Amino acid sequence: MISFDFEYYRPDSIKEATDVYAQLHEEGKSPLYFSGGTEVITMARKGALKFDALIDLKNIEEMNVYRKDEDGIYFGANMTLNEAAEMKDFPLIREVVRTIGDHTIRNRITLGGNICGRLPYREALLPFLLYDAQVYIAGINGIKALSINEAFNKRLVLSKGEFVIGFKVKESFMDTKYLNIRKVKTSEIDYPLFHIASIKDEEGIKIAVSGLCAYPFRSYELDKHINCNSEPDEIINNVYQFIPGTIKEDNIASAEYRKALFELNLEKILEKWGEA
Amino acid sequence: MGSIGISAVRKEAKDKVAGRLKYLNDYNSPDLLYGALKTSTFAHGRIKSIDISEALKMPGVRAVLTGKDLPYRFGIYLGDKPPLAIEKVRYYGEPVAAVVADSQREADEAVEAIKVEYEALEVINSPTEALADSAVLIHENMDEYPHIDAIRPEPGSNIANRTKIRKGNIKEGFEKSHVIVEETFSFPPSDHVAMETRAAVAEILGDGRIVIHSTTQAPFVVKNLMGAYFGVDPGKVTVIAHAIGGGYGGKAGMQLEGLVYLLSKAVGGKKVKLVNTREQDMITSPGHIGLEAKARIGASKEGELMAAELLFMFDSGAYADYAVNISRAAAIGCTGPYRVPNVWCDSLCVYTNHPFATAYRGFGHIELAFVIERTMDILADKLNMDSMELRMKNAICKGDTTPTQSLLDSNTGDLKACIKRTAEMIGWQEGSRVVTEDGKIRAKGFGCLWKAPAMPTNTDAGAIITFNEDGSINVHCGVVEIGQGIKTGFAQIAAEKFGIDVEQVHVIMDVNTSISPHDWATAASRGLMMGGRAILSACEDAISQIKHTASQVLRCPEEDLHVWGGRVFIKEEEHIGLLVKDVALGYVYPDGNAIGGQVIGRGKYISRRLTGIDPDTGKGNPALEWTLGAQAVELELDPTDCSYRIIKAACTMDVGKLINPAMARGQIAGGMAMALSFARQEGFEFNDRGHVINRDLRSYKTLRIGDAPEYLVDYVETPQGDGPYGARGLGEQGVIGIPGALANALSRALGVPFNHLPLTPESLWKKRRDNR
Repeated sequence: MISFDFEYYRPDSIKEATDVYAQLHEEGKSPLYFSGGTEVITMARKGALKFDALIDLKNIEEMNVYRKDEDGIYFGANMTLNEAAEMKDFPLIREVVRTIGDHTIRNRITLGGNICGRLPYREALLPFLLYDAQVYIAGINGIKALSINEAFNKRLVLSKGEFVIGFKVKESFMDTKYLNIRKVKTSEIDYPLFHIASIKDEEGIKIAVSGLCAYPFRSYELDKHINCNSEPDEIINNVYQFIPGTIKEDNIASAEYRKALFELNLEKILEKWGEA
Repeated sequence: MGSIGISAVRKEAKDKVAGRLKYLNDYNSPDLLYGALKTSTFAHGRIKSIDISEALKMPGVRAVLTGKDLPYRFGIYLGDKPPLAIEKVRYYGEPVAAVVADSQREADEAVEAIKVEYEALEVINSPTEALADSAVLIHENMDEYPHIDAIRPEPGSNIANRTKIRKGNIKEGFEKSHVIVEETFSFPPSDHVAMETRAAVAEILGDGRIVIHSTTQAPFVVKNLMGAYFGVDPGKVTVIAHAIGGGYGGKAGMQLEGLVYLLSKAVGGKKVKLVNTREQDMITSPGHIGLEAKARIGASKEGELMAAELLFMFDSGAYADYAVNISRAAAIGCTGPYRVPNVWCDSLCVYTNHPFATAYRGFGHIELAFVIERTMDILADKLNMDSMELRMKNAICKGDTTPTQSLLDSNTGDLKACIKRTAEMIGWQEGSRVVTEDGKIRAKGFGCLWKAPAMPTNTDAGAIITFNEDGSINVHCGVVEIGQGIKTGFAQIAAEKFGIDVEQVHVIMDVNTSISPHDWATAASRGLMMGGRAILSACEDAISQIKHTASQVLRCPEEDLHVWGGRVFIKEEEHIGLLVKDVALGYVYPDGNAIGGQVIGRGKYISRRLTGIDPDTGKGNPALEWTLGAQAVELELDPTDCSYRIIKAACTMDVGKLINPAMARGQIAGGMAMALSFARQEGFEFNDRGHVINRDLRSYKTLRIGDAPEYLVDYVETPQGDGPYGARGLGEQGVIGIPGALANALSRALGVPFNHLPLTPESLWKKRRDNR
């Protein structure tokens, strides 16, 4: 049970949502947007998250749709992970989101929530980073579209009152080959030691990683390093200078085990791309 | 007809699968008040101050209590635990204050307004630390604590109990040994993770009667302890147990009942409900015991066990609760199911600043078996002998004596047959270590089991049978339905006796200590055997009453009558008889005259010829019946990162007589799942301040259905002469041999001894690296 009072709003449009946020902010309150609500409920009941008001984004139509536009395929941020997994256009998206939580919880977790929430893994982000998706961000001044790799720096950078309404991926990525490796402590249904998603297109191999550092990342320097035609051994020996953070040490795994497994699996990925 | 040995559908199945079965927290009423607990954020600390002034002012708050208000000592065997911490806290999560309010929300809010200041004390994080000469005392006043005779606390130390086993001559045993192995073992405390968290509701009626509804496996123990702790008249206490969403030992003894009674008392006897959150259920309420152990075992050249020297140091956590008896049970069964002529064992229950321990499925035996089964494999390696053959050679059987020097009689199960069958099922002869084409290692490991109930020598059960107008039967017994299917098993036993369909036997699901016949507790895997005996005795009593009435109508001697299939008739002239339905509520003659009155079958059973054990040698006869079995695990390991998948888990158990095959399989496979989860991935993680790091299910991971192996379950049926239709207990036993079997398979896979749980891939990886 959440043992504090808060206001609850359920706007029907983007404008209503940003307006109510602005108004609450003006009143000196700390509002929070949410969609699925899994993190809000679990964290607030333990006192790990406080807020004066919640703005529920579930009624915003633009966030609930999946559609094919001329310039790509649009994923509404309110799509649950299970809904996203059922869309078969991008097998990598399907494969990545199906590893998050268990089936029941994936009926609630949304793409937007997984990517913008408090938990550091944000695995649903990995394919969007690799596909260089467009991210649509709503704010008090309307909607803007950004390249996700520009909008992302350790986390999706959002200004006060902004929220993500959807993502768009170019159809040309639909047939792009991919590799996806996710390592866990024991149970499959757990946060990852790390999660490496990788694609290979005409520009070369691209990788995006979650769980290894305190935040997920895709680094152009790392991609460049991996595509440098050196021997896998050499690539791996020098890989850490291209990884943006320190290797995590927590109760899922020690840094040394994480590191050892990361090297092993990066090698596996390089080998497999080498064969392909 | 035959109602024994069939997979009758459990009586509560339809409501369970439809989500209609009500558990305690599903019951609500308008007059209910709600309790909430403030818990400690220090593992060991002096309470400098508790400020409840803000909480008292909050809306809906009826009462706020702290330890000072409640000068009581709880403890089923050793009275060491205040209901709310007094002066100091001894573990992270210990309750320090309680609130009663009109709603759960108001109670929770008030808890957050309570401010507690602590002064940190030195934290004891393991039994070894607790036993060091310089260790601080967790209970300075242990000498003042009341305790039962069977428990031997050592005031001035952190030892809450020491049980000694001295059998044969240990020195000679080792002198005769050609091979001796010595090893240390450990695992941390953990949790049961029952699906239903503990809950209790209490109210005090106008005449002083106390009514408690609880998620309890032991309603009669609660009633008795209410008398012992509070001096209330036991006849004025009614404890009601509804169906329970998993017990596993964690709902035995006294749990929330004592505290919720005190909360009710604080608000003038109004009805108060107290429900554990998941996090409180994991660390505030007691969990599974931890262990550090040393084993030294000697054998002849041929692999015959000669001597076993065992030191168990159980991690009881901050309070003794059931842990003192678990350490005792582990001593009583210390050798596992093997013939050992010379045994020395000291089994210690040691206080630490961890969450405290209570009963857990296997009760001392899953713990001792991990030590013994690993040591057996280490010994087999050293003897260069097949580990299954070593077990076969030393398997205990009829005529052997236990560590307490008790003779195993003709009721003893056939362990050798179990080992043979399990070896067949797991394909032992096809190789216990194989490297597959893709570089994975497939390995197998063995582990045997034995278990006897650890219970008072006068443990009893009772049963009452009444009849309905159609001749169907109502069976009432004080054993609680905790998911094990016992009520259905009882119905089958009664149906078999009367020669009627199980559908014609109705069971009373709830247990009410003011109505139900006395029953010790739903623990120790003794429900089927003891409750079953009581039901058989109640059936016999009812049958003799039916015969008595029928003999008058049929004008024949009672002893010439037989009751079967809904009729009472003359044995040799079956056509001469009456319908049971026309007799069971009194027989009415055509002219309206009635005789006999209703039949009420009364049945009882009390354990036979049990004794305590000698404090210096452990000699005695404390075990009602031993269930024996053999288990094995097969897994596939990836040597690159040490991740592994459990492929098969096998168990053959000598159950005496199978009453309900589907439910027996459910118990045994479920037990194996629980033990695989425990051994592979469970266990509390502590920081150096004794805080539990993984105190929620986000970070404490249990085995999921997708991780489950193929379960292979089979039975041997050597009748338990004094069991109902020859049956003996099987509820807990499926867990016992599995941790050892898993560790043995992993040790074989990687050629590195794994003696510490949990066996996470990372722990294997590190140990292998350190061993190189």
